[in-house]
Formats: sequence, C-alpha cells, structure tokens
Amino acid sequence: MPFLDNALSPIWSKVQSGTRLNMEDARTLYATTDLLGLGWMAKQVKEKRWGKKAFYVLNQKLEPTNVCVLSCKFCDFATKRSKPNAYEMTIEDMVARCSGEGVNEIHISGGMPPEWTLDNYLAIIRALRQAYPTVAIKAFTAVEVEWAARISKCSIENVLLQLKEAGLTALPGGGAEVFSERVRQELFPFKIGAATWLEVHKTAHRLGIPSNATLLYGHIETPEECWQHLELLRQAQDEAPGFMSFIPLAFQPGTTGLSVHSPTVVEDLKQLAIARLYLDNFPHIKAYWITLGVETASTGLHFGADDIDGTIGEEKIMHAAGATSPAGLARERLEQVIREAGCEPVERDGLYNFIVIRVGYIPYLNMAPFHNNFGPQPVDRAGIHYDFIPCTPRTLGLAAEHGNIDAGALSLVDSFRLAETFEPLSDLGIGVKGPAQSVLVFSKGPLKDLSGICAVTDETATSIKLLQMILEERYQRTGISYGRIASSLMFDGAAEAVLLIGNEALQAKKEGIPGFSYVTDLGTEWLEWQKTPFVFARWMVRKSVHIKVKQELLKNIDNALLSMKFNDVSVLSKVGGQVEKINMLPGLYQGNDREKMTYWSGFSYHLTPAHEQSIETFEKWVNAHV
Amino acid sequence: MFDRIEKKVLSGERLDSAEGLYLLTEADLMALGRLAQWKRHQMHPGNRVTYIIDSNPNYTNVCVADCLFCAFYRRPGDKEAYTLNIEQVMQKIERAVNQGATTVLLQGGLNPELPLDFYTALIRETRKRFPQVTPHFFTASEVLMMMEVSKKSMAEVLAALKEAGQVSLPGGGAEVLSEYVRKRISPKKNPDDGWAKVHREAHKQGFHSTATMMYGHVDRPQDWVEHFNLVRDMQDEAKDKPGRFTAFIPWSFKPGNSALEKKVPVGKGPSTYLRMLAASRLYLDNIPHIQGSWFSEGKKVGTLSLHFGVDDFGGTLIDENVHKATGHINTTTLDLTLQMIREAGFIPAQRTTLYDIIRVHAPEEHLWGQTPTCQSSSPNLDVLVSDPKVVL
Repeated sequence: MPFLDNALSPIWSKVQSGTRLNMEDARTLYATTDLLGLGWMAKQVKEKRWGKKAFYVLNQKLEPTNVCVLSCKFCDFATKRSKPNAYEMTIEDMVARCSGEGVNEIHISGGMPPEWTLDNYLAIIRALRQAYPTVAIKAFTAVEVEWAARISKCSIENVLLQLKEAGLTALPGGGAEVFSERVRQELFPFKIGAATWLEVHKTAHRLGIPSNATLLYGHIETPEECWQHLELLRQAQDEAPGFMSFIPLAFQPGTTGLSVHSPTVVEDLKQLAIARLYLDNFPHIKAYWITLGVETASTGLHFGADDIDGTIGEEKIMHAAGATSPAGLARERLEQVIREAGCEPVERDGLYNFIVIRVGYIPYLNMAPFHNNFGPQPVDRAGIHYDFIPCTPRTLGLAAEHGNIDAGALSLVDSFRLAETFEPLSDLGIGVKGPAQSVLVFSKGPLKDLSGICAVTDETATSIKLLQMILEERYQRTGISYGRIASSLMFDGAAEAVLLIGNEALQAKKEGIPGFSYVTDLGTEWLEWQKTPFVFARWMVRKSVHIKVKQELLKNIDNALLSMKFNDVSVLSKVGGQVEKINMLPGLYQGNDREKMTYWSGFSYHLTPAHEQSIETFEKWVNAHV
Repeated sequence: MFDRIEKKVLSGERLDSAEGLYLLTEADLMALGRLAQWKRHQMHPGNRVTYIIDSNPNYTNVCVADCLFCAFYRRPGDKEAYTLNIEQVMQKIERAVNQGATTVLLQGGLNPELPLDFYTALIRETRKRFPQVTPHFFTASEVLMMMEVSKKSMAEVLAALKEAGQVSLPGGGAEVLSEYVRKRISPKKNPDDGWAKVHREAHKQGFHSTATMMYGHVDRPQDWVEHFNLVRDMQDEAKDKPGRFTAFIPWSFKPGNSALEKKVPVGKGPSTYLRMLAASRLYLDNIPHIQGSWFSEGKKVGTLSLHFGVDDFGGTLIDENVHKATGHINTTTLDLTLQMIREAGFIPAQRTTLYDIIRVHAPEEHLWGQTPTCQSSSPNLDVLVSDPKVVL
C-alpha cells in the first residue's frame, strides 16, 4: 500500500533499515497530511519492539506542596506561602496518601518552597522508603535536584547519591519543558535550562538512577524547537543511557493566559508518532492520559505509544489548569482502555520491570541459524519477553557497553572488553576452520605486500584486529593506516585494500571490486598460520540477568540450532524465508539453498577446546596491542 | 487476509462477509484506516470534507416503544411528557433558520395520539414558511406509527408525506439490523424488518434517505456484518429507483440514564468507532458518503475520524435532545465545526441535505500551537460555488 504522501516513502526505507532519522525527516513527518501513514509507521516500530503489549502502572501521584520559589508562566499550580491556597503536607500525610492497595510506584513532583533544604527532600524519600520498602519512588525533577544542590552547596552528583541512598528509584521526566533558550527566557527564565537538565539526567544515569524525559508542547514553541529537543534527548541517551520513557505533554492552557486552546488531537498523535520514530534509543513512548484525555491516549496506542501511565491516585498540577480527564482511573478502566485499542495490558512497576531481555542480533546470513524461529520479531516464551534489537557487530558492542542490550553474539574483542559485566552463554559462538567466507580483504596486490591505507568497514569490531594481527605478526607489515568507511559504496579507491564483513563482503565477492583483484579470506589466513580454527563472535549474556532467564535463552538458541538440519533442503527453504526477512540485503542468496547450505556448513556454532585455544592466543595479542 | 482485501479494494472488487468480519474485528486499525482513506480519496478527490448547518428538534418525547437504550422518551401520561403544537415547532425551526440552517431533522417519540395530518401539516408549514430548509423529518419508526394511527398502507403514508413536500428521510431507528439484536433491545420498534421496508418503499417513491447504525450494546461483530449486508443489498436494489441511500452514519451507544446502563455500563471507545467508519467505507462500496461525527464520539475522535475514510462531518446540530438526555453533552458552533475540519487538514465545504455543495471555505493556515481564527462568517474568505453539482 503506497503512502498517500510520497514524502513518507524514503523515511520508511530509513526506518526499515535502522537508519536514524534527522531533523529534516521530523519536519517532513510533521508537515505530512498522511496522518495515518505516519501513525502506521510508528505503530510498526512499536509492535516490532513490544508486540501488542501496552503498559500501565498502579501509581500514586504525590504533590507535597504547591509553594514554589519559581513563577513559570505556564503553571497554574504553584503559589506563594502567603496566598490562601498555599498548602504543605506533613510527612505523615504523604505516607498516608500512598497507602493505596497495590500501589507500586510513587511519583512525587511539586513546588520548591524557599525554606526547604536538602534534608527536607531526603526526609520525604526516607520516610516513604521505610513505609514502602518495595515500591518504586520516582521523585524530584531535575529542577528540584539542581535547586537542592544549590541550596545545600553540594554537587549534583552528591545530591543524587544521597537521594539514592535514601531510597530514590528513578527521576521523573518533568521540568524539561522545551529545550530552547528562547522559550526559557520567555516563560521560565528562573528555571534551569537544557544543559543543566540534561546534565542532571546523564549524571543520574551514570549513578544507576534511571529516568524519564518529557516535552511540553502546544504553547509558544515552534515545531523546530521540538525536533531540536528530541535530537538532544537522543544524543543524551547515546552518551549516558538510562531514559526509560519519553512523554510528550500536551500543554493545558487553563488560566495561564498563554494559549486559548490545547493542542489539537492531530498534533498530539503526531508528537507520539514522531517521537517513536525519532527516538530509536528510547524503549518506551508514553501516551499520558492525564494530559491527553482517555480517548486520545487510547488512540495513541495506534500511533506508536506503548504505555498510558497509571491509575494516578490523585493529580493536581494538570487539573489546576483545567484538564478534564477523570482524576484517577481504576485498574479495570485502564485495562479496558488498552484492550479497546487492540492491545494486551501489562502491569509494570516503576522501572518497567516485567521480565524482558533485550537481545542484540546481527542481520548477517551467518547469524540466521541462531534465529531460526527465534527473532527478529519479539517473542514471548516461558513468561519472558524477548526484544530483538538489530545491530552491526560494532554497534552491538557499544549497545552492550551502554546497558541497552542484555545478550547477543558479541564480537570476540567486545567479549574480552566487557568480561566484567558479561559472561559466555554456554559454548555458543561462531567459529570457522578455514574460509570465513564473509570476512574478506580486497586488495590491489597480495596481502603480504600491503602498505599505505587500508579501508575498513565500520561494522567490524573483531575482524580489524584480526587483520592487524595477521599483517603485523605474520607478514611484518607495519605503518599501515586503517580508515573506517561508512559502507563499501563510499569507498573511493584511495586505499590499497578494503576489509569488508558480513553481507557486504558476500555482495562484493559476488560482484567484485574493480582494481582489487586479490581477495583474501581471513579465516583461511588464520588456519594456515595458526593451524587452529578462528572465532569471530561469542554469545554473551549480562551477568546480572536472572539465572532462569539465562537458561531459557540458552534453551531457545539451542532449539533454533537443533532444528537447522544443514543437509535437509526442505528445512533450509523454511529457514531461508526467515533469512530473507532478517537479511539486510534481501535477495542476496535468494532461491539458492545449496549455496546457503554450503555457507552455513562452514561455521561451527558450538565452540570446542580448539576454538578456546585460538581465543586465548588472540586475546593475548589484542590485550598487548590496545 | 488483509493482503487479499487490499488487492480486492484496489481493484474495485466487492468484499464478502468473511472479509467484512475480519475488518471489523482483527484487521490492524492503521492499515485498515489507510486503505479506507485511499478509497475515500478515490471516491471523493480533493481534500474537502462537507458539513451541513442543521438542527435536530423534537416535537414530542412521548413514546410507546420502550427501547432499552433510550434515556429521552417518557411514557404517555408521565409528568415530564410533552408534545409541541405546530406553532411551537415552527418557532424552533425559525430559530435554526436564523442561524443559517438548511436542513431540519425533526423527530419525536412514537406518540399514538398524533394523527397523520399533524405530520403533513408540519411539512407543509415548514415548506411554506422556510423554503430554504429541507425537511429531513421522521424516521422509519414514526412512519410505522403513522400507518398504525391512520390505518393507511405504508405506500399511502409515504405518498402523503411526499405530497406535503418531504424529499428525504433520516435513517434513525435502525440500531443494529439483525434479528439477534432487535429481539433484545427494541422489540416493539421495527417489528419484523420495518426499517428496511419503509426505506425500500421510500426509495421507490423518490425519497433519498440515510442509513444509520447504533452499535455497542448487545450487538456482536457478526450483527454488524449482517447490518452492512442489508444496507448494501438495499442500495443495489435502489439502483433503478428514483431514491437511494446518500450516506452511512454509525455511532456508538451511550449507556447513561438508559435501562441498558446496568447491563452495558461503558460504551465502545474510539478504536471501535474509527474501525467501524473505515470498514464501512470499504464494505459499503455503493454508498457515496460516510459520515463521521464529533457529536457522538467527542471532538477529538470526531476530528480524527476524518482520516478514517470519512468525507462528511454531519451537522452543526443546533438543537439536540436525545443524546443530551443520556448525559452526553456535546454542542458546537459553526466555527468549531470548521475548526475541527481544518485541524484534521481538510477544506470545509457546506452542503445541503442531498449533498449539493453550497460553498467551499478558503483553506487556512494553521500554525503550530496557535489558535486558528475561524472566518466562516466573513464572505470574502469563502468561495461561493456558483454551479453546485449533486455529489450523489
């Protein structure tokens, strides 16, 4: 089905290939009249990650006080101590307020009274933690954290550490408003700006405090400022991962005098959909029913959202500004709203803890046997949700390092590098005795005589080290410069050689690279030299993953491998279908089962002592040549 | 299944019951919506959404049908029962005319005290005093009541209405046209297939009419398909007749204050509504217009409906009592109607009861976060259509 708006087609191609969207894409998406084309893409991405699941939480909103030192123009909630509507709850009140049955998240936000010190903030957390040892406490926006740091003359890091020690679980996403200095000057000049907000959250993430992020839209901001906001969030998540969910907040004009009506339903849904497509490193996009209203939140589940927040025992800030949604939704109603949208309700806790394991997977042909009936679409088995995230060998290592992946066939050098947090998953890996078939050096002359520049695909992590080792140790070729290239297509011929891996290598072998008539298979090189098989990747799993989950994961992969009978063509054609689905270069091996069979039978998927020996040799060299 | 449906829709083939049921239950709403929107643009090129300035007054709330879903009616003799005289009705119509109404959907309860002459007099007086108004009066249920009180045949009653000046018949009272549903919610209204019989005869006599559906009470998806099939078949039959269905108008049951509230405490939500609209656009391939409504589903869902196969936004409903009685309050003005159409990204065009375009409003920039200022009353921004074409 073609898009009604042709401009969406190239964006959809990018989304499908895992290419990040840029600001220009966001502009195009916002401008499109094909609302459903946009929503459909976002829903596809959501379903790829979460299937039909939609999350909710039984939570209690707590607003300890409405007295605030700030006077933000868009806020109808804050007041001054001297005003008749000012209130401040006692700690006993706060504890009592959260005693509702089944509550497993407390969300605190409120004013910042001038008299409070850091101790006030800590006392609230301590009291709640003591009363509710297992409940997630999501408290204090970056604005409050920064304020507490300022008044207590501590660093932000120190304040966060003290809060964590007192029992804080996560930071809420509020206070971000719009990351635009222009808007800040106009509406909230006394509040922290983008740089500080992002710094607080990144610091929190580094200290193991996850958080959310918001965007307040529908007042005086421009669309451009919204996309800038998303861009900054995506960068922050890359630098210091820890954002759980992104929540676009529809501005409630109320009596703030800022705008005459709330954002339209079309804007609301476009915000959700664009966020889902743009923020490819955010697991959750929330359609917050408090600001959107129940109907739009429910509809939002068709436009890329996967969460509608919670029961919200009591909510004051948005309602002071005239939000008309019912001030608390019972669990039954939330589930019904989710079901109505065709989704399956999943109750979560404050950290989205239901059992989920994020498996990085590399869409190369040689990986296919691991994913025979196991990925790349998310699957639920034995109560575990497997989320498959497409990576190259190199980005898989980065994602694992940043905490965005729990398991995957890590490139061998990454398995060394991350040995502190990851452990091998049984004997699973990819080894070759002889030709690796898809780890190839194309050169103008023989490899042993190589000098000058060697271009290297940026998908590799291990192969480049292997090439270096072979060149330096076997052929004594030193002084070679290695340049990363984005893809083989960008290769301009300035280099003497080019290293390609995976599907790119297979493609190049088929078509040849003009001028590079020498093709060297690094697997063969290693065997001739070391007389042992080489190992390119090893299945690794995060140590902190529960033992039962590790066992289940292993069982699933073992089953996938078992069901691959390499000599059985009928099975192969079935797996072949699977491969086409996950292949980055569709059609590469289409319809040629024999070729595929030969290719796969060249790999060992269970590692042996001979493989271990070669791993040891390689690791020693890598560690000596960092 | 969806691929098959998509192929059939793109090549203009008719969908069968199994495919209809799939669209109404399992199909992905977004894929369905995109296909419906494609079909809507095929059938109605250009980016227009039509609306009508209308009013829905009631001449009586006395009713003997005792429908379980209704919160509006009172039994004869109830102290809240009322019946307006002709002059009172004319006053209501005049009020609507002063606000620019071109159509009036007049309906009542089913009051056995009122003679046929009362109904024909309402039509005559309206025609005489307000020639600019199309009387879109009396649902099939009232026609059946007129037959009962006048002891005349259906053909005679409809001929009398026609002779008095009526040209179109509203589609209310259909609810969900399946045996299973009728037995359970409105056993006294629509005995046998009364609704269908009245509309068949009306089409034969040259009335245009609308088909409606009120879902979300005791009905099941297979009942919806049954309803769709009946409407589509009747429209096929009407091919050679002077009248036919102009539009299909679904809305969800509102449980508030009705006898069904205990059984069905919460109505169907936005996803079901959008699905219903999109599926009807694809399945009812011979019905030219699918009407979405801000009125029954709320302004946000109403606005959104324009992306799910809808080409008409119904009326401004100056005077409405039936939904109001369920506690479902939803009134709007012309400006708001235009604003909603524009927010959805379409160009508003005013139409008559029979879908002639009266005027096309100028497209208007709507900037992010800013309130659109609607200029509907300012004639220089509107393009008056000199040669209105019947869209039927």
